[in-house]
Amino acid sequence: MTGSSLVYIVDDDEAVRDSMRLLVESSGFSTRDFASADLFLKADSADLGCLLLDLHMPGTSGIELLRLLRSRGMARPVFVISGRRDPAQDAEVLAAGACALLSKPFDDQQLLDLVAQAISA
Amino acid sequence: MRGEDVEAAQDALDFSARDQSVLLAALLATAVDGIIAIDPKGRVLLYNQACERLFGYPASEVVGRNVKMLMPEPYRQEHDGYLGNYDRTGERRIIGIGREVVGRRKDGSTFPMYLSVGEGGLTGQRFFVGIIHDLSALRWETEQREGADRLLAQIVQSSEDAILSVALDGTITSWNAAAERIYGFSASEAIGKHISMLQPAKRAGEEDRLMAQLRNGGTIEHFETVRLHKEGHEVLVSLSIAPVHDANGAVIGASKTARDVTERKRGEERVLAMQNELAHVGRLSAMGQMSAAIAHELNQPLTAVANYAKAAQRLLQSGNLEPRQIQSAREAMEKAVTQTLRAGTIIRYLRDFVEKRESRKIPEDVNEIIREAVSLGMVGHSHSNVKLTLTLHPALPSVAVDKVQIQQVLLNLVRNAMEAMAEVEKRELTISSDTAHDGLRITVQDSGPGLAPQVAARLFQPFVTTKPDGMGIGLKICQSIIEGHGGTIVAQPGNPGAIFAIHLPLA
Repeated sequence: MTGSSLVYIVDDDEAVRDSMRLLVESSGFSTRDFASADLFLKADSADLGCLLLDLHMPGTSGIELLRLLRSRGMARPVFVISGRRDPAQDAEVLAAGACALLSKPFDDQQLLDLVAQAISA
Repeated sequence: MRGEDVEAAQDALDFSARDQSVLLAALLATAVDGIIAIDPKGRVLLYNQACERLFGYPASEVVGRNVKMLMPEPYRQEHDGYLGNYDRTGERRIIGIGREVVGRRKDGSTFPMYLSVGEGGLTGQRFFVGIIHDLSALRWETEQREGADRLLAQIVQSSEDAILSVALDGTITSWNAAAERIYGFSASEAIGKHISMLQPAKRAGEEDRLMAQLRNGGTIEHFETVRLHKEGHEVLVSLSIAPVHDANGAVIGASKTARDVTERKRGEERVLAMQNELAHVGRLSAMGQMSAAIAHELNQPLTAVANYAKAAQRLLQSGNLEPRQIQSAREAMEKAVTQTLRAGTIIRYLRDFVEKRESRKIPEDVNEIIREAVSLGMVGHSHSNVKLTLTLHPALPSVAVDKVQIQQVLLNLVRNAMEAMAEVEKRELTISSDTAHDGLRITVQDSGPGLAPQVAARLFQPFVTTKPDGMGIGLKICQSIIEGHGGTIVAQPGNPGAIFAIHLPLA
């Protein structure tokens, strides 16, 4: 699985993105991070192992990016991390193809377990 | 006596002896006062021209008739009795004395006159001579003056304002009804006392200073100060003081008018308190609308802090620590600290925003406010590759502003600019200050995608936003604050990006 071992992070908040990167890397994973969905879309993501995705971002939103990726047949796990949760939005996000939903701030072990599962899969 | 003088005296005597009756007739005819003579029965013997003018009767209608026709009732009835009484007892009521009596004109009207009566005798026949001085004009003048004085006194007494006068040494010399009401002292309690009895200790010397100002020719108008009521509480008054001059123009005292403005002041304070309350409610309401966005704002740094701390913990947990891991953990902790500061800044911003307080405008160095606001606004963005340029005018005039409010505005604009540049490669934030027409100008320019024309036009309306998370309240508050300073805020195309330009007036 060397071809798809990187943890991709898309979050517009620089501190959240950077801290998430460091957390994931502290557990031995490699990462790539992007400040927006649009920047992510411009990059080659062939090595994507899983995606940690923020929902609320300027430009293309998290859920729009998720739908776009699924419509293109991207099958890697996507974990949506949101500052605001409500049942209707959760249902929408899951329907769009998210594997899990986490609230900010999240439990680090829960996230790292999900990442570990995704990368080893 | 020398011979010449004796001769001259003799000539005069000769003249008077020859022409005495002519002289007397001239005297009677030209006298301004009325001259009248009557016999002991009251019959008129002589009635001069002046009498004709005074009483309106020609001499022909009066001479030979009883003088009582020239008197109004009840004197008319009583006059014969007086004469008879004098005849019998010699008791003088008026003869040789003179007094003020009332005359009656032919048309029935009466007039005041001063009558002096002398007694004479001619070939054994006694007669009385009366000299009549018309007092009408004098009385009229006196009445006018007294009437004016009375009117003035009534005006002073009925005035809503305290009106009092003081002598040069500060002794109170008059005190109207309103002064009694406003200060609690009755006129009898106040007159004769020193004006300083109304002066609270904290205003010591004020009356002396006002008096000195007055002596130097000044007047004092609508001077708001505090005076003491008899019962010890303070009265807020607006004083107007004018000098009182003597006939020679020298200042001999002062007249003071004091209006009780306690109620007006209370009213003003109530209105002010209500305005502040409204502003506070307005901010709270805006707060409520923003709360979701704010919760999100706080959640971001808290998430980052938790992540950094956990990452550091994990890095340090591994059994065989490499220097690279230790360095990474140290950096993670530093970043966690930075994020707690970011959270703190958001909370302080909120507190300042919600805090119930009056706007305090004091002269400030606007450049300093800009520097502080920018450093607050850049918290959390120090690694965003933003090129920050401050172009500050080195000699800006200081303007009276509410520092916290202006910082709120700048912080908001800086944060907006940072967000606008999130997706562009070239990130340049330029903040400038400069003098402008009648004031100064602050601009915040970003290199973001700029504003669509339809958004720019509606930008300062509430709930208009370009941000997916935005509530569209921030710029509305910015505008309220700047307008509260008498200034303006506009958005302009920046080529690239957008420019927000603030104009603050000097005065």
